[in-house]
Amino acid sequence: MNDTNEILSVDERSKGSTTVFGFWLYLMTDLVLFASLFAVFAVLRGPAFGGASMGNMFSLPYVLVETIVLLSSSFACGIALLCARAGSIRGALAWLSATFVLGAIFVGMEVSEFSSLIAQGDGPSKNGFLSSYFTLVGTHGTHVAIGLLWLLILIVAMLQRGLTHGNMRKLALFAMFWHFLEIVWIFIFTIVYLTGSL
Amino acid sequence: MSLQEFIFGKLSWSVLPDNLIAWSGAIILLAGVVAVLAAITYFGRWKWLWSEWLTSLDPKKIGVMYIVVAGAMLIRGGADALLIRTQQATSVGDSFGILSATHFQEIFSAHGSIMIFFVAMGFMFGLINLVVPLQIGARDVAFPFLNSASFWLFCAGAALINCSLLLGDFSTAGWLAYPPLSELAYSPTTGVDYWIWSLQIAGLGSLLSGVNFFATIVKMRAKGMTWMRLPMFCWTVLGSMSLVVFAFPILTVTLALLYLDRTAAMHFFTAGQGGNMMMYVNLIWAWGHPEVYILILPAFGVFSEIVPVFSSKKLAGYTSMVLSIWAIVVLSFIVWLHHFFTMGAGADVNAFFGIMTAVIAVPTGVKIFNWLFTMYRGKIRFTSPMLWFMGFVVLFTLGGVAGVIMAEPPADYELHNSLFLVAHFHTMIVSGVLFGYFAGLTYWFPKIFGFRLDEKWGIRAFWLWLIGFILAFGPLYLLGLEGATRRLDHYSASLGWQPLFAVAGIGAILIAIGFCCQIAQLVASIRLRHENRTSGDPWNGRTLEWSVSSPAPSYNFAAQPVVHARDEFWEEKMSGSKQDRQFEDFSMPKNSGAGAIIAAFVFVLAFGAVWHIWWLVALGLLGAATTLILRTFDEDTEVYIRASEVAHREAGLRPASAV
Amino acid sequence: MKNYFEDIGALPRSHNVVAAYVVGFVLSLLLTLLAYALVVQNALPHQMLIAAIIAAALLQFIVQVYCFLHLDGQQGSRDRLIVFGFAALVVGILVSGSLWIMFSLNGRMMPDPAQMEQYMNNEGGF
Repeated sequence: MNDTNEILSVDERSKGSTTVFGFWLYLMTDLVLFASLFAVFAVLRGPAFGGASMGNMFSLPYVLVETIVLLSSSFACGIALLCARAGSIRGALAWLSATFVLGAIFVGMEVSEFSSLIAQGDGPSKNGFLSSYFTLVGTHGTHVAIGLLWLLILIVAMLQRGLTHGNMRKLALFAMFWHFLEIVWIFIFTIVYLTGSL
Repeated sequence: MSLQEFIFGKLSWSVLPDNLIAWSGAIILLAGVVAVLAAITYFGRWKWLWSEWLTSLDPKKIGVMYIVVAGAMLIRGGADALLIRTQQATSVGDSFGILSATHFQEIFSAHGSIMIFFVAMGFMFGLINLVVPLQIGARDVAFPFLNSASFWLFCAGAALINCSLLLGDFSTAGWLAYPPLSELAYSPTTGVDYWIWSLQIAGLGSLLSGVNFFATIVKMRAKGMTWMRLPMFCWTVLGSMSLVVFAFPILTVTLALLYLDRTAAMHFFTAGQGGNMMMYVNLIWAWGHPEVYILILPAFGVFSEIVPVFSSKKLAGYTSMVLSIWAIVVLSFIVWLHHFFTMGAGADVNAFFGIMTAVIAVPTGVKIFNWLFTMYRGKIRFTSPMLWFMGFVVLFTLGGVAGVIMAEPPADYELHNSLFLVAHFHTMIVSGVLFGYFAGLTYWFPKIFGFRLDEKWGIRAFWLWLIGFILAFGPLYLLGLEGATRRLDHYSASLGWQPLFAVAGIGAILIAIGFCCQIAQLVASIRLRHENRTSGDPWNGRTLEWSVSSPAPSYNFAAQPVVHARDEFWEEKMSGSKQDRQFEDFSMPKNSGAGAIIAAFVFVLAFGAVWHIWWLVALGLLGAATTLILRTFDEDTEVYIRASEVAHREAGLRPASAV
Repeated sequence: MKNYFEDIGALPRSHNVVAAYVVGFVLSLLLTLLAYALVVQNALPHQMLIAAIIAAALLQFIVQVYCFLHLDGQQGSRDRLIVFGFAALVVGILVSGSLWIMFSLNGRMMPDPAQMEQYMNNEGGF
């Protein structure tokens, strides 16, 4: 019986490392996806055709708060991973809840920014620049929203079954996804908002 | 929005076909589907089909299903090709052929999309599924469930593109649907939406397969199989999959943006309001050019396996083969502009991409020479896989040279959009990709089914395809040089082109007969299967897949092989050493229908998106997401197989070495 | 269980992860605030300002890839690093190539309003 356990754990280890690698490949496809959207944005950020121009479209302090909220969410997720490694399910759940709340605030802020733009008549169908702006930032926001759903499911699974190998693996993948989204946001913050306001 | 609009979106009675030829297409499709369903019911095979095939996670079975679907789509795409050839051979002067201009446009758009996405890609993933795990000494792929989901997404895309035969029309904007023609203003019907969504779902399936096989080759190789011992087919698949992983997301974005333009009135590629239609052309080819190499690299890999085996020699220049694959992979990302030299970029831009395009011929040439060196002074057996290779090497080189001519921007300004171009890429895709896959299919067929394909019919099929191909596409080179543009539905009699178009038509008919020979080959092989039964190693092979019995057992290897050399199985045969067969316990994935169910919901979603039936979109999304989430909670996904069971089953099988 | 994350390659064995997260968070925060302050204060000439904030973004990118995604090139993450390098190459080619092509096209085919004005004056309209 001891023998079987040994084999299973080797099996489990190689499966885990294959899954991490495979998920990494998926993240790379997402990277190319965002790169394409950035390229479209860079090409279309031209004339405003009567819509808002980038300089006066948004408030920078608001975006800075968004940025710090998402960065903190990413950091909280990392701490949750460390708690899980130390075997503390309560710590992991607490930090994951913080991750969720911060992520939800981020999505909420983005939704309210979008809706105020649309309300003042600068929606995505106004011109090419606004189409590319909404699509680039919105695609990122959609990823974050899907991540929140995933996180919710993960929390339920952890409450149900505790820190099993399966849940640990899913937590590791989620952390990669979440950190990746924060990294994409660095470029949205810099290229869309900071250079846009100049 | 009225209630009817809410429930049915843009669907109404008026979307049914409106002419005889369109109706006959729809009826043939429906009759085919009904006949298949009736046959399964009549023979009482539903349960067997569901539990043995449709829910199977065994890559060998998934591979067979891929090839069956690709074969069915080849019939559809081939029928389109015959209609195109008939129209161009007859629609001259006062005669207007058999098709209206619009219908002709739908048909060439469907032909291109189907042949690339559902025939070539399907065949490719089929072969990869059949061969890669066996060649690397693995029992399975990295993510078996994902593999099944990818396959079913591919099927959902294929089903959606065929829906356009019955409901509504298909895109008239060509296989890459350039805007502004593909924008709502100029293509107001749902044809382009069909095109977008069937490619989008099939493309998603391909993307996931790319991730899966990339991870499989990197992570699942047998012990001792270092990188420089990897079989050449797996190397080419790794190259091809890395292109899938990095190029397909660009397609996903491009299609999504076009759909947003059409549906949400955005302005990415529109003519007005700051849209830029040239950005679409740029993006679609940034995916489209790597796509060509995604298809051709595995065909190169097939030949790299076949030529050494049938020449009884080891592959010449293994290292240079590997380097040339990666040179092609990288270069294929920096040549995309050669598809639109004439769009108006500066001379510096055109020159750069022209030079890069010419450079890509170098690694390809390395491969051609290496195959020829492998044959040189070898003991060659001219079996049908080898014949496909010989046909390939002559035609592909000619087609490649035509490509280098067009890589020069000044020459391209003359040849752009002409039939010369059409002839060039058909040479690459038919005599390159398709011949390669046919060769691979013949070569690996016995490993999957335990008997060989009938050689007599195989050779007939080869000659008909070869001669048919030369007759069908030789004239197109000439016509292109005479100035015939592609996609002509009618031309003046005074041009004197009709005889050449007629010859091309005869060529197409010969190819169709060649395809019928392949069907006959399959039937004959099944009837004579007892005579054609083979051992595990029918061709005196060199790589690991030939070391197990034929048909290969579901778990591939009873004992995990250990690799000591490049052509491991050949070295074992030469040295007389045997793998030490120590059976161990291992686990295999259980069958799962969740992949098929997810794809069915995605189909519902896409159908709703095409016809603007938004509740159907929501339903599909909800269903797919719920199925996926439930699947992640299912922890009982594996069966545990005991060593004693394997030993018992292996004892009943003939050992591989008994020829 | 203790080293599960290390075993599957999700966390590195080679560097101190706790420190990495804290340092990564603090550095990211500082770089974000720096870029923000530069823009709000308009502290540099236009070209240099853009170069500075893009440099800050790239620096933050490297910090987060190393500290949060733990891509340090050691045993556990080498495969991922190679794939990442290739992805970065493709992204570079795609973005810079697209911009090169599109701006070359724009430069030749879509003159800016001032050029258009001059052309119209010189030629007396189209």
